[in-house]
Amino acid sequence: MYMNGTPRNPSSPDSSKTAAEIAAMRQVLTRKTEELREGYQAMEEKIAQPFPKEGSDEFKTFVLDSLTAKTLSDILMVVEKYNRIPIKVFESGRIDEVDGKAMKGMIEKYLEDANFTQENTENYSFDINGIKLFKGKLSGLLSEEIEKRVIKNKGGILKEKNVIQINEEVRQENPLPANLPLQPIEALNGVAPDTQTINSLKESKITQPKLKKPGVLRSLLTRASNKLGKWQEKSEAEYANDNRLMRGVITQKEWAEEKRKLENGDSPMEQFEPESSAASNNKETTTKAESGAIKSILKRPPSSKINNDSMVKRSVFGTTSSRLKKIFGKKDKGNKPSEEGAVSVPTFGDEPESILDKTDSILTSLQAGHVEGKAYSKEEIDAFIKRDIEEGKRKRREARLLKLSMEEKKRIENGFANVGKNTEKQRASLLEKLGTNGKELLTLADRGAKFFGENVGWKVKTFAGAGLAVAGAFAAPAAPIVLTAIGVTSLAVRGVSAAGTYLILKGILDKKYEALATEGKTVSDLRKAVFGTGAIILAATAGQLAGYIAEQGLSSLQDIFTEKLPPVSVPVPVVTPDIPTPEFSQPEAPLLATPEAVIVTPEVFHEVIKGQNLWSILRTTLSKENIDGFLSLTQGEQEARIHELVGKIAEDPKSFGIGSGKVGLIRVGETLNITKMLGQ
Amino acid sequence: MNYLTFTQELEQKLGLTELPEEAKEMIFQKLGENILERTLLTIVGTLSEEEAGEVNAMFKEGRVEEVMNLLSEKHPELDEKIAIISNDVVREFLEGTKS
Repeated sequence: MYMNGTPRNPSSPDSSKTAAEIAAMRQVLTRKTEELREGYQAMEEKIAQPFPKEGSDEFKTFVLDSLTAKTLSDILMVVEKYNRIPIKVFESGRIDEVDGKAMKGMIEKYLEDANFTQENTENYSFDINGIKLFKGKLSGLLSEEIEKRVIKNKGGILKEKNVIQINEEVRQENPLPANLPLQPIEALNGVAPDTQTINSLKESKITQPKLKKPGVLRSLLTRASNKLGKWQEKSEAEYANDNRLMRGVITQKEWAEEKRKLENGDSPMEQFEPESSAASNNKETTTKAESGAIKSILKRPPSSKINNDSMVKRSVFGTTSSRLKKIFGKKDKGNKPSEEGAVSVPTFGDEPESILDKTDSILTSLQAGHVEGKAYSKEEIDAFIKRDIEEGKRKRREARLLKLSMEEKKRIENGFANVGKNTEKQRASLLEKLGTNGKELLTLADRGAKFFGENVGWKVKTFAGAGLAVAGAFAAPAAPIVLTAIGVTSLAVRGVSAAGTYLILKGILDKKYEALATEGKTVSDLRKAVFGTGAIILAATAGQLAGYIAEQGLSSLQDIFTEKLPPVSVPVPVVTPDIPTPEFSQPEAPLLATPEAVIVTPEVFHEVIKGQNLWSILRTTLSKENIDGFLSLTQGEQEARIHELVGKIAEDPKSFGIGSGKVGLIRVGETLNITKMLGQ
Repeated sequence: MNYLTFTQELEQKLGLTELPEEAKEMIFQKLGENILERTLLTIVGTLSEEEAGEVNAMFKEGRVEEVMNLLSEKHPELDEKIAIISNDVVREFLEGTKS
């Protein structure tokens, strides 16, 4: 009766309560409300602090504490200390503020949801001041916490029913947000809560217990949900809107319209995952005709493909959208309560073997060079990608539970901790220097990386990762993968259709590959494999893999797979190190200035001349004297050696004779201690 | 030498040969993610504020080829940089595992 907005008349004959009972209840409630309000205010005053300014010592402490937190409790303790924490909603780039305690409460509620997994944490990703806190560290700790709970539950409730009943008692233990304004409860005065609030509550991501009839608790929870989840719901709606655009479910126009509605606050929250009418229509009609359109576009030479991008948008976008949706499927938004107020629990048992045998054969074929126009249907390849992504999710879950020895686990964790520490250091250092545009670009790059991580199949991602990891040792074959990632960033930002981005990027890859051939350079197997991986990643993320394979007979990229060259060593290019020398003017210097010969004997020094930088001095010295067999090293090993020396010098540049104190800034006339630099 | 040989060498270098395939795959993926992240950070860090603004606009308008042209001018040594980053990440991982 509250849903239709009809006020309740407390004096009506069917009322089960007397006026005295209602008055007594009202009195009790008012007193409780006051107590709660005072309690929360006191708590807020005692605990919450304004979030520190970026760059301040306290801010740095916050960053350090949050990044070095060992457990979920640790990180939540860091977060809950502050109110008005600036939150950058990851996908939208929008800035909002949130109370730390409210955030903690929200996370605790998520944890109660047994459907909460590493995968759907990404639906709730936040980026605090550009630091990937929620996305990386926090979600990792959340994941660990969930694992612990799942393992713990496996022996108990999960074994029996695979469900967790969420009852009122459990829910009531959750603290309400600290700064919740508790107004007099209007329902008791005969004024019903508005319909939108109730609908919002129904669709809220925060699971609420099913109450038999509206009452005080429901009213409180409605208000709590409304207040606590207001920013969350809006953010999620924006994320969902962005996500639909990225996945091609809606057009840019529809995205912009939805965004406008969200900003004006007139968009219904229940429309988290609608399929646009345009997309729906396309889904039904994009079959043979559009497949033909794809084929005809793919058969054109690269230049005409690029120039026909607008046509691609018109004729293929619907197909691509539908296929993207089909490939990637509807994301599990998690946390959907069942009719009975219970939520299902994911099982971690063995999943039935898929058509992975076939997908294996596709990738093996691609990698081994035996495609040769083999006709896999679009359905087969779409299914392959979908299954590969699913398989990846399963493997990730299993890998977390791998029975590695403690020693092995620790060793791997230490390895990545060391890498992660340096990556975060680079990020933190960069953030201090970047202006607004730089930060925005970084957000776009992060978004691309996220999209890449979510939408590329497990095997292809492994292939790409290994390709990047061996790149250093074999001199520069990794650019196609990075180039592809940059292209995927654009795809994620989605200023252009998936098909358009695919064709443009593919054109660039083609050119780059052809340039190698025309330069007369031998294309090594590894380089070919990495080019191929870049192309497969691009095709897979753009939903064009079937077209890509079908096209092999026409594309210059076929060489990647079909050309059989004897194994050869990778050509050694001249290295141009990136060591900035802003104060080191060299206008008159010859382009290939050769430093004076240096003979390494005890205490050899070198006077810097125009045109030199530290890297070139080290390389020349090491090469001329073939120190420690430098010339017999591979290109990558030579670079690593120089890099290692530069790193060592960077620890105390002045002690090596670099007056500026910076390895990137050496001045003409300075005398460098070469012996010490080379550790002789 | 082929792709498998390369990866097998990498496995040996990192001391992963005895690990289950899933663990190796995960390690390769994480290494790749870190290399990619650092490469993107390096690119972002090298561009000036004005150039970053240009690239933002290019991304949003889908002018990917122009992004690539700009990066080619600013990062002619992109390949070499990636090689160095790749070496760094692998070396740091190795150092970490020995600590």
